[in-house]
Amino acid sequence: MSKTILIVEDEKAFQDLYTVMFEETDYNIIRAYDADQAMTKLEEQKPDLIILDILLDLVTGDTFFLHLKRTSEYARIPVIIASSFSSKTYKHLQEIDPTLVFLEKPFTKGKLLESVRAKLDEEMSREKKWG
Amino acid sequence: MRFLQTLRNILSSRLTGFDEIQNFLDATNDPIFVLHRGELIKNFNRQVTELFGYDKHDLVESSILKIIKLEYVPHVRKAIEEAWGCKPGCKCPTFDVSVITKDGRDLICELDLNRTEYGIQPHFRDATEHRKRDAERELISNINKIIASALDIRDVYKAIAVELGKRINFDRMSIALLQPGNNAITTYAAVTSYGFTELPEGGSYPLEGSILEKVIKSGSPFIVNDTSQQKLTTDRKLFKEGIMSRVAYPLIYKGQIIGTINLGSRRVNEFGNNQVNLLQQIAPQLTIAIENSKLFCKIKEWNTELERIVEERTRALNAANIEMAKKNMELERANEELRSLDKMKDNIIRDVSHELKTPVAHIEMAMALWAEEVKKDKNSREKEEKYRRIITSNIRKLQKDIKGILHLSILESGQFQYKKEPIHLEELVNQVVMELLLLAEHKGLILLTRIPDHLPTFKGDREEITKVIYNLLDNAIKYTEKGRITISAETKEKELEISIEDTGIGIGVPKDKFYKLFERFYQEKTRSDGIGIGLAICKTIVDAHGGRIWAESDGKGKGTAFRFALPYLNSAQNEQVG
Repeated sequence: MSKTILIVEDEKAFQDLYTVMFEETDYNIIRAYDADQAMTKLEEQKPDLIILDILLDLVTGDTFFLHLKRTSEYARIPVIIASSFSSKTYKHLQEIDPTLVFLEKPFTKGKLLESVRAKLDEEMSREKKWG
Repeated sequence: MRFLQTLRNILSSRLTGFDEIQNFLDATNDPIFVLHRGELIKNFNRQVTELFGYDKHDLVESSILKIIKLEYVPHVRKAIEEAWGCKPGCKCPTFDVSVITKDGRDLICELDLNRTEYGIQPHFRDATEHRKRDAERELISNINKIIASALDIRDVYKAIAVELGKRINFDRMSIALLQPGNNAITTYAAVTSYGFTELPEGGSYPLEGSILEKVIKSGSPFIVNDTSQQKLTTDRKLFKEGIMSRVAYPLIYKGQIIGTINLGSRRVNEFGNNQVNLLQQIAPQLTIAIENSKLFCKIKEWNTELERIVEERTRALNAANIEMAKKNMELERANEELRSLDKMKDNIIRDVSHELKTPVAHIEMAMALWAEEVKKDKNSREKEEKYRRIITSNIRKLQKDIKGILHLSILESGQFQYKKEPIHLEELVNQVVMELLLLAEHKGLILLTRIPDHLPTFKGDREEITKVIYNLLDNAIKYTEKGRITISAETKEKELEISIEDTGIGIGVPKDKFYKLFERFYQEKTRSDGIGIGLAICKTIVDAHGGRIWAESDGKGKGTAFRFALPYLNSAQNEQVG
C-alpha cells in the first residue's frame, strides 16, 4: 500500500516543486496551504508522514507541530520540517520529538526522497517491533 | 639640701667649735639663724645682715618672730614648736613667710626649720625673684591663653589690660600701630579707668609728634614723666584727659618696630624699670597676637574673595553645565540617529537573511531539478515551462522584496526627506488607475473610481502618496479573482479619506489583529505572495503625513477595504511633512 504524505506549504510555487520531486514515486501526496487546511486533511485521511513549512498562515509551522504532538491521535505521525530557517532556530522542537527531521531549504530532490524513505522505514520497523 | 648634708658631715666629724659653724654659716648664700631655745635667736650668718639689714645687736637673744610679718607669726610659732618636738636631723616642711627688713620692706622668703643637735636653724631663701618670675609666667601664660582664644584683637587688648592691671597701676592702656607707608598711626585705646579718651579707638593720627615716633627713633622704650611739659603732640591730648605720665614699649616683629604698647597714669613719674620690665615680658606675645590678627584679617579677606570667586565660578559652571546639557542632548540625538541607522542595518540583515532566503532557495531547487532533467535527457516542454515559471516568479518576488526592503529602510531611517507639494488627489488616482487598468482587465475585474469634484488640496510628497495608492490597488487586484475594485474619496472633518475596496479573498484574521497587517513582515501568507512589506511601507508614508491607515473586512472571501485618511492643507499635523 502506498504511503500518504501530507505537505503543508503555503506557497503555490513550492508546492509545484514538491510535485515535480515526488513525480516518479508512488507516494500518495496530499496538500495543505495553511494550518486550517492541514487539520481538515488530517481528519480526512491519516497521513504516514507530514512535511511541514515553518512559515505558514496565522498558525506557524512550529505551533502546528506542537499541536500535533499534543494530540494523541496524531502524536506518532513522523514530521519533517522543511524551511529556509536554520534548524538551530527550532532546536527546542527536537527536544519534544527527538526523531524530528529538519530539511533546510534549499535541498535536492535526492535529499528529500532519502529523508522521506528513511523516515517511513524507521516508522515501519518501529511498528513491527510493537505489533 | 646639700648644705644640710655638709652640716651633718661637719657635726659628725666632731667639729664642735662654734666658730667653725659660724664660718660654715657665713659660707652659704642664704640667711640662716640658730635658735637655742624657743624662738630665741642665738646666732645668725652675715647674709641675714646683707639681705634683711639687721645686725647682731638687733636680733641676738630676740625672738625670731620679731622679723616675721604679723600675719605669718602664728604659723611660724607653731612650726618652731613642732620642730623642737622633733628629733635632731628630722626634716620639717618648707613654707613661705614674709620677712620685714630693717628698712621696712616686705620680703617673701621660703623658710626651712632645720632641727639640729644645736637647736633649730631657720634657713631663709629669698623668694621675691622666684615669685616675680612665677607671676610673670602666669601673666604671660594668661596672655597667651587670651591670644589663643580671642579672634578679635581688641579682645586681646582688653584682656591684656586686665592682666597688666593685676600687676601694675595705670589709668590708660593703648596700642599704637604703624600704618602701611609708615607715616601714620592707628590707635586702639583699649582701656581707660576714666571711661573716655581724646584718641578714640581705630583713630588715625600722624606719626610725627607721637610717642611711637620717639620709640622708633631711639629703638627703645620711651617714658614721659610729666605730660604737662607737652613735649609731644600726643602729650597735649592726653594731658587734657588727665594723663600725667606715659610709657611706650616697642612691639618688634622680624626686627621692625610695628607699633607700641602705651600705658598712661594720672600721676606723674609713675613709670620706671618695673613697668618697662613687665612690658618687656608681654611685648613679644602681643606682637605675635597683632600679626596673627593681621593674618586673620587677611585670611578673612581672602575668604571673602575666594567666596566671590567660587560664586562667580559656580555661575560660570552652571552656564557651562547648561551648555553641556545642550551638547548632551545633541549627542543623544546623534546617538538616536546612529541607533536608528543601526536598527535599520539590523532590519536589513534580518530581512535579507530570512525573507530573501526562501525565494533564493526555491530558485536554486528549481534550477537543480531542471539541470537533473537535462542531464537525464528527460526534458519536456511542459516541465521546462513549469521550472521557468517557478524561477521567474521567484526572481520577480526577490526583486520586489529587495526594492521594498530598501524603500522601507530608507523611510524608517529618519533620513528620508518628504517633499511638501500641493497634491490634487483626482489627478494622482487617475495616474495609478491608468497604470494598473490593463492588469485588472486582464483578470476580468472592473475598476471603478469615485472621486468627487473639488476635493480639497493637501500638501505632501506626491511620489510617496502615489506609492501608497499603487500598493493598495495592486494588492486589491492581486487578491481579487472576480468582481470589482472601487477607489473612492470622501471629505471628512479635517481629513480626506481614500478607500480601495475589493470583492476579493478578504482577511482571514480576527478584526483585532488587522493592525498587524501593517507591521513589517507580518506573515499573513494567504494575502501575500511575498513578504509583508507593502502595507508596512504604506503605513510609514501615511504616518509621516500625519494620517492614519486601516483595513476593513468581514472575513475570508468577503472582500477587503483598505482606507487611509490624510489631514487637509494647513492642519498642524500636515505641517510636519516637509
